Amino acid sequence: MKCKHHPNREAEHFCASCGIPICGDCAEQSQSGDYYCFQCAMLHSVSEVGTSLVDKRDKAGEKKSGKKRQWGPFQYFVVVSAVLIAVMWGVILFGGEKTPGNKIDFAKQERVFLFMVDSSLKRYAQYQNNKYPEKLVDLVPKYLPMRKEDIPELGRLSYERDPQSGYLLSIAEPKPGAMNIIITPKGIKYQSTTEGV
Amino acid sequence: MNKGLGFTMIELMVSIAIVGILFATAVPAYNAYRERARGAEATIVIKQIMDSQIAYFLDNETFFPPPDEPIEISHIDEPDDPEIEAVYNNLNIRIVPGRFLNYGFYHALTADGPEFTLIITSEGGFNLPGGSPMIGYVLNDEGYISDAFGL
Repeated sequence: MKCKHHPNREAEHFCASCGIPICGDCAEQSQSGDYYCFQCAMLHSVSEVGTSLVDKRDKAGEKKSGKKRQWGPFQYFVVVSAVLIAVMWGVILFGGEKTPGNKIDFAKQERVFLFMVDSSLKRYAQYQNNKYPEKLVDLVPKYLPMRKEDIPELGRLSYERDPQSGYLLSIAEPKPGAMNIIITPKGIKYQSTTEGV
Repeated sequence: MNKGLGFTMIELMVSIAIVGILFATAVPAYNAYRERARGAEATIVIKQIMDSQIAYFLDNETFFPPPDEPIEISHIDEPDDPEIEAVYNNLNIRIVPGRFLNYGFYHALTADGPEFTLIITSEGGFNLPGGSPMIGYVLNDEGYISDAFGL
Protein backbone atom coordinates (compact mmCIF):
# COMPACT_ATOMS: atom_id res chain seq x y z
CA MET A 1 0.00 0.00 0.00
CA LYS A 2 1.31 3.39 -0.92
CA CYS A 3 1.55 6.51 1.20
CA LYS A 4 -1.37 8.86 0.69
CA HIS A 5 0.93 11.84 0.23
CA HIS A 6 3.81 10.06 -1.50
CA PRO A 7 2.45 7.69 -4.13
CA ASN A 8 5.94 6.35 -4.88
CA ARG A 9 6.57 5.30 -1.28
CA GLU A 10 5.26 2.32 0.62
CA ALA A 11 2.99 3.07 3.57
CA GLU A 12 4.46 2.13 6.91
CA HIS A 13 1.67 3.24 9.29
CA PHE A 14 -1.99 4.12 9.37
CA CYS A 15 -3.06 7.41 10.92
CA ALA A 16 -4.57 6.67 14.34
CA SER A 17 -7.12 9.40 13.75
CA CYS A 18 -8.26 9.41 10.11
CA GLY A 19 -6.92 5.95 9.13
CA ILE A 20 -5.07 6.95 5.95
CA PRO A 21 -1.87 5.07 5.04
CA ILE A 22 1.25 7.13 5.63
CA CYS A 23 4.95 6.61 5.02
CA GLY A 24 7.65 7.04 7.65
CA ASP A 25 8.28 10.67 6.69
CA CYS A 26 4.61 11.58 6.96
CA ALA A 27 4.03 9.79 10.25
CA GLU A 28 4.16 11.79 13.47
CA GLN A 29 4.39 9.76 16.65
CA SER A 30 2.53 11.01 19.67
CA GLN A 31 3.64 10.71 23.33
CA SER A 32 1.38 7.70 23.70
CA GLY A 33 3.12 5.95 20.79
CA ASP A 34 0.36 6.29 18.18
CA TYR A 35 1.11 7.49 14.62
CA TYR A 36 -0.78 10.35 13.03
CA CYS A 37 -0.70 11.97 9.61
CA PHE A 38 0.52 15.57 9.48
CA GLN A 39 -2.95 17.13 9.56
CA CYS A 40 -4.22 14.93 12.38
CA ALA A 41 -0.96 15.39 14.27
CA MET A 42 -1.48 19.17 14.05
CA LEU A 43 -5.04 18.87 15.27
CA HIS A 44 -3.96 16.46 17.98
CA SER A 45 -1.24 18.81 19.17
CA VAL A 46 -3.68 21.74 19.22
CA SER A 47 -6.05 19.62 21.24
CA GLU A 48 -3.26 18.66 23.62
CA VAL A 49 -2.27 22.31 23.97
CA GLY A 50 -5.89 23.18 24.65
CA THR A 51 -6.12 20.44 27.21
CA SER A 52 -2.97 21.59 28.89
CA LEU A 53 -4.28 25.17 28.97
CA VAL A 54 -7.50 24.00 30.56
CA ASP A 55 -5.50 21.96 33.04
CA LYS A 56 -3.35 24.94 33.88
CA ARG A 57 -6.43 27.12 34.34
CA ASP A 58 -8.06 24.51 36.59
CA LYS A 59 -4.93 24.19 38.63
CA ALA A 60 -4.68 27.97 38.93
CA GLY A 61 -8.31 28.08 40.01
CA GLU A 62 -7.76 25.43 42.62
CA LYS A 63 -4.76 27.29 43.90
CA LYS A 64 -6.74 30.50 44.10
CA SER A 65 -9.74 28.95 45.81
CA GLY A 66 -7.40 27.06 48.11
CA LYS A 67 -5.93 30.38 49.16
CA LYS A 68 -9.41 31.75 49.92
CA ARG A 69 -10.21 28.86 52.17
CA GLN A 70 -7.23 29.61 54.35
CA TRP A 71 -8.86 31.11 57.45
CA GLY A 72 -7.01 33.65 59.54
CA PRO A 73 -7.85 35.39 62.80
CA PHE A 74 -10.06 37.90 61.02
CA GLN A 75 -12.29 35.19 59.54
CA TYR A 76 -12.61 33.50 62.93
CA PHE A 77 -13.44 36.87 64.49
CA VAL A 78 -16.21 37.43 61.97
CA VAL A 79 -17.73 34.00 62.51
CA VAL A 80 -17.54 34.20 66.32
CA SER A 81 -19.06 37.71 66.24
CA ALA A 82 -21.90 36.49 64.03
CA VAL A 83 -22.64 33.63 66.42
CA LEU A 84 -22.56 35.98 69.42
CA ILE A 85 -24.91 38.45 67.76
CA ALA A 86 -27.30 35.64 66.84
CA VAL A 87 -27.29 34.39 70.43
CA MET A 88 -27.90 37.91 71.81
CA TRP A 89 -30.82 38.43 69.49
CA GLY A 90 -32.19 35.04 70.48
CA VAL A 91 -32.07 36.06 74.14
CA ILE A 92 -33.70 39.42 73.41
CA LEU A 93 -36.48 38.02 71.27
CA PHE A 94 -37.22 34.76 73.03
CA GLY A 95 -35.89 35.24 76.55
CA GLY A 96 -37.32 37.14 79.49
CA GLU A 97 -40.84 37.38 80.79
CA LYS A 98 -43.57 36.43 78.35
CA THR A 99 -46.87 38.18 78.12
CA PRO A 100 -49.54 35.75 79.27
CA GLY A 101 -51.31 34.41 76.23
CA ASN A 102 -54.26 32.89 78.04
CA LYS A 103 -57.67 34.50 78.12
CA ILE A 104 -58.19 36.94 80.97
CA ASP A 105 -61.19 36.18 83.19
CA PHE A 106 -62.82 39.60 83.28
CA ALA A 107 -66.02 38.24 84.85
CA LYS A 108 -64.10 37.04 87.90
CA GLN A 109 -62.08 40.26 88.22
CA GLU A 110 -64.79 42.75 87.26
CA ARG A 111 -64.15 45.07 90.19
CA VAL A 112 -60.39 45.18 89.60
CA PHE A 113 -61.11 45.93 85.95
CA LEU A 114 -63.41 48.77 87.03
CA PHE A 115 -60.63 50.30 89.12
CA MET A 116 -58.14 49.87 86.29
CA VAL A 117 -60.39 51.80 83.93
CA ASP A 118 -60.94 54.49 86.57
CA SER A 119 -57.19 54.79 87.06
CA SER A 120 -56.81 55.18 83.30
CA LEU A 121 -59.55 57.84 83.19
CA LYS A 122 -57.76 59.90 85.82
CA ARG A 123 -54.48 59.74 83.94
CA TYR A 124 -56.30 60.66 80.73
CA ALA A 125 -57.67 63.76 82.44
CA GLN A 126 -54.24 64.61 83.78
CA TYR A 127 -52.80 64.64 80.27
CA GLN A 128 -55.87 66.14 78.50
CA ASN A 129 -56.48 69.28 80.60
CA ASN A 130 -59.04 67.65 82.90
CA LYS A 131 -61.18 66.46 80.03
CA TYR A 132 -62.66 63.00 79.93
CA PRO A 133 -63.00 60.72 76.91
CA GLU A 134 -66.28 60.38 75.10
CA LYS A 135 -66.04 56.59 75.13
CA LEU A 136 -63.96 54.20 77.16
CA VAL A 137 -62.39 52.78 74.01
CA ASP A 138 -60.64 56.15 73.56
CA LEU A 139 -58.42 55.18 76.49
CA VAL A 140 -56.97 52.25 74.57
CA PRO A 141 -54.06 51.73 74.26
CA LYS A 142 -52.17 54.74 75.64
CA TYR A 143 -53.94 54.97 78.99
CA LEU A 144 -55.51 51.50 79.13
CA PRO A 145 -53.14 48.86 77.71
CA MET A 146 -55.70 46.31 76.57
CA ARG A 147 -55.30 43.72 73.87
CA LYS A 148 -57.47 44.30 70.83
CA GLU A 149 -59.42 41.10 71.36
CA ASP A 150 -60.29 42.21 74.93
CA ILE A 151 -61.72 45.62 73.97
CA PRO A 152 -65.35 44.31 73.85
CA GLU A 153 -64.94 43.57 77.59
CA LEU A 154 -65.28 47.33 78.15
CA GLY A 155 -69.01 46.69 77.66
CA ARG A 156 -69.02 45.23 81.16
CA LEU A 157 -68.72 48.78 82.46
CA SER A 158 -71.17 51.63 82.31
CA TYR A 159 -69.57 54.97 81.54
CA GLU A 160 -71.00 58.38 80.86
CA ARG A 161 -69.67 61.89 81.05
CA ASP A 162 -71.42 63.96 83.66
CA PRO A 163 -71.39 67.77 83.46
CA GLN A 164 -71.40 68.12 87.24
CA SER A 165 -69.02 65.49 88.52
CA GLY A 166 -67.03 64.76 85.33
CA TYR A 167 -68.00 61.15 84.73
CA LEU A 168 -69.87 58.22 86.21
CA LEU A 169 -68.28 54.81 85.98
CA SER A 170 -69.74 51.59 87.31
CA ILE A 171 -70.22 47.92 86.55
CA ALA A 172 -72.99 47.64 83.95
CA GLU A 173 -74.60 44.54 85.43
CA PRO A 174 -73.66 44.22 89.09
CA LYS A 175 -74.22 40.95 90.86
CA PRO A 176 -77.62 40.82 92.60
CA GLY A 177 -77.44 41.74 96.25
CA ALA A 178 -74.03 43.40 95.99
CA MET A 179 -73.53 47.12 96.48
CA ASN A 180 -72.88 48.78 93.18
CA ILE A 181 -69.79 50.94 93.10
CA ILE A 182 -70.17 54.17 91.17
CA ILE A 183 -66.91 56.02 90.67
CA THR A 184 -66.69 59.71 89.94
CA PRO A 185 -63.59 61.94 89.88
CA LYS A 186 -64.57 63.13 93.34
CA GLY A 187 -64.83 59.70 94.91
CA ILE A 188 -66.78 56.47 95.16
CA LYS A 189 -70.50 56.21 95.79
CA TYR A 190 -72.25 53.03 96.82
CA GLN A 191 -75.69 52.13 95.69
CA SER A 192 -77.84 49.11 96.41
CA THR A 193 -78.38 47.04 93.28
CA THR A 194 -82.07 46.67 94.14
CA GLU A 195 -82.49 50.42 93.68
CA GLY A 196 -80.89 50.42 90.24
CA VAL A 197 -78.01 52.52 89.01
CA MET B 1 -5.26 39.62 56.53
CA ASN B 2 -2.20 41.12 54.93
CA LYS B 3 0.59 40.60 57.42
CA GLY B 4 2.42 43.83 58.14
CA LEU B 5 0.25 45.89 55.78
CA GLY B 6 -2.83 46.49 57.98
CA PHE B 7 -6.32 45.55 56.91
CA THR B 8 -7.89 45.27 53.50
CA MET B 9 -10.87 47.38 52.55
CA ILE B 10 -13.18 44.36 52.79
CA GLU B 11 -11.97 43.55 56.29
CA LEU B 12 -12.50 47.13 57.39
CA MET B 13 -16.00 47.18 55.93
CA VAL B 14 -16.88 43.93 57.63
CA SER B 15 -15.45 45.16 60.94
CA ILE B 16 -17.49 48.37 60.76
CA ALA B 17 -20.59 46.37 59.89
CA ILE B 18 -20.03 44.08 62.88
CA VAL B 19 -19.58 47.04 65.21
CA GLY B 20 -22.83 48.51 63.86
CA ILE B 21 -24.70 45.27 64.40
CA LEU B 22 -23.28 45.00 67.92
CA PHE B 23 -24.56 48.49 68.71
CA ALA B 24 -27.93 47.66 67.17
CA THR B 25 -28.07 44.56 69.36
CA ALA B 26 -26.98 46.40 72.47
CA VAL B 27 -29.89 48.87 72.38
CA PRO B 28 -32.73 46.32 72.65
CA ALA B 29 -30.61 44.29 75.08
CA TYR B 30 -30.29 47.37 77.28
CA ASN B 31 -34.02 48.08 76.99
CA ALA B 32 -34.82 44.51 78.02
CA TYR B 33 -32.48 44.84 80.98
CA ARG B 34 -34.06 48.17 81.99
CA GLU B 35 -37.52 46.66 81.69
CA ARG B 36 -36.59 43.80 83.98
CA ALA B 37 -35.08 46.26 86.47
CA ARG B 38 -38.27 48.33 86.52
CA GLY B 39 -40.34 45.19 86.90
CA ALA B 40 -38.19 44.20 89.88
CA GLU B 41 -38.62 47.69 91.35
CA ALA B 42 -42.39 47.39 90.94
CA THR B 43 -42.35 44.02 92.71
CA ILE B 44 -40.61 45.57 95.73
CA VAL B 45 -42.99 48.54 95.85
CA ILE B 46 -46.05 46.28 95.61
CA LYS B 47 -44.78 44.11 98.45
CA GLN B 48 -44.07 47.18 100.60
CA ILE B 49 -47.52 48.63 99.99
CA MET B 50 -49.28 45.35 100.75
CA ASP B 51 -47.26 44.79 103.93
CA SER B 52 -47.98 48.34 105.09
CA GLN B 53 -51.64 47.94 104.23
CA ILE B 54 -51.87 44.79 106.36
CA ALA B 55 -50.18 46.61 109.24
CA TYR B 56 -52.57 49.54 108.80
CA PHE B 57 -55.55 47.18 108.81
CA LEU B 58 -54.37 45.49 112.02
CA ASP B 59 -54.10 48.89 113.70
CA ASN B 60 -57.24 50.51 112.35
CA GLU B 61 -59.50 47.62 111.29
CA THR B 62 -59.95 49.26 107.94
CA PHE B 63 -57.91 49.85 104.84
CA PHE B 64 -56.37 53.04 103.63
CA PRO B 65 -57.64 55.16 101.85
CA PRO B 66 -61.24 55.66 103.03
CA PRO B 67 -63.72 53.67 100.90
CA ASP B 68 -65.08 56.71 99.13
CA GLU B 69 -61.77 58.42 98.38
CA PRO B 70 -59.52 56.48 96.04
CA ILE B 71 -56.00 57.76 95.54
CA GLU B 72 -54.32 58.05 92.18
CA ILE B 73 -50.60 58.84 92.04
CA SER B 74 -49.21 59.50 88.61
CA HIS B 75 -45.57 59.50 87.66
CA ILE B 76 -45.90 63.16 86.67
CA ASP B 77 -47.18 64.25 90.08
CA GLU B 78 -45.09 66.62 92.15
CA PRO B 79 -43.12 65.06 95.03
CA ASP B 80 -45.11 67.15 97.53
CA ASP B 81 -48.48 66.08 96.10
CA PRO B 82 -51.09 65.83 98.91
CA GLU B 83 -51.93 62.25 97.93
CA ILE B 84 -48.27 61.21 98.20
CA GLU B 85 -48.19 62.84 101.64
CA ALA B 86 -51.40 61.04 102.63
CA VAL B 87 -49.90 57.66 101.65
CA TYR B 88 -46.73 58.50 103.57
CA ASN B 89 -48.63 59.61 106.69
CA ASN B 90 -50.85 56.52 106.76
CA LEU B 91 -48.81 53.69 105.23
CA ASN B 92 -45.36 55.08 105.99
CA ILE B 93 -44.28 54.62 102.36
CA ARG B 94 -42.74 57.48 100.45
CA ILE B 95 -43.77 57.00 96.84
CA VAL B 96 -41.32 58.70 94.52
CA PRO B 97 -43.04 60.00 91.39
CA GLY B 98 -41.22 59.99 88.10
CA ARG B 99 -40.17 56.35 88.44
CA PHE B 100 -42.26 55.21 85.45
CA LEU B 101 -45.01 53.76 87.63
CA ASN B 102 -48.55 54.97 88.31
CA TYR B 103 -50.45 53.86 91.40
CA GLY B 104 -54.13 53.53 92.14
CA PHE B 105 -55.28 52.86 95.73
CA TYR B 106 -58.88 51.67 95.96
CA HIS B 107 -60.70 50.63 99.07
CA ALA B 108 -64.07 49.08 98.24
CA LEU B 109 -66.81 47.83 100.50
CA THR B 110 -68.12 44.59 99.06
CA ALA B 111 -70.58 41.94 100.12
CA ASP B 112 -67.60 39.84 101.27
CA GLY B 113 -66.16 42.66 103.36
CA PRO B 114 -63.69 45.46 102.72
CA GLU B 115 -61.16 45.00 99.97
CA PHE B 116 -58.09 46.96 99.07
CA THR B 117 -57.15 46.99 95.40
CA LEU B 118 -53.81 48.23 94.19
CA ILE B 119 -53.53 49.15 90.52
CA ILE B 120 -50.04 49.61 89.10
CA THR B 121 -49.49 50.89 85.58
CA SER B 122 -46.16 51.17 83.84
CA GLU B 123 -45.50 54.36 81.94
CA GLY B 124 -44.05 53.38 78.58
CA GLY B 125 -45.75 50.04 78.25
CA PHE B 126 -43.11 47.77 79.77
CA ASN B 127 -44.30 44.59 81.39
CA LEU B 128 -44.79 44.42 85.14
CA PRO B 129 -44.42 41.23 87.24
CA GLY B 130 -47.69 39.76 85.99
CA GLY B 131 -46.44 40.00 82.40
CA SER B 132 -48.62 43.01 81.59
CA PRO B 133 -48.14 46.81 81.66
CA MET B 134 -51.19 47.18 83.95
CA ILE B 135 -51.77 44.91 86.91
CA GLY B 136 -54.05 44.78 89.92
CA TYR B 137 -53.76 43.04 93.28
CA VAL B 138 -56.58 42.60 95.77
CA LEU B 139 -56.08 42.35 99.52
CA ASN B 140 -59.08 41.29 101.60
CA ASP B 141 -59.74 41.63 105.31
CA GLU B 142 -58.40 38.13 105.94
CA GLY B 143 -54.97 39.11 104.66
CA TYR B 144 -55.28 37.20 101.40
CA ILE B 145 -53.50 38.81 98.47
CA SER B 146 -54.77 37.72 95.08
CA ASP B 147 -52.63 36.83 92.11
CA ALA B 148 -51.83 39.65 89.74
CA PHE B 149 -54.66 40.47 87.38
CA GLY B 150 -53.04 41.90 84.28
CA LEU B 151 -54.64 43.38 81.20
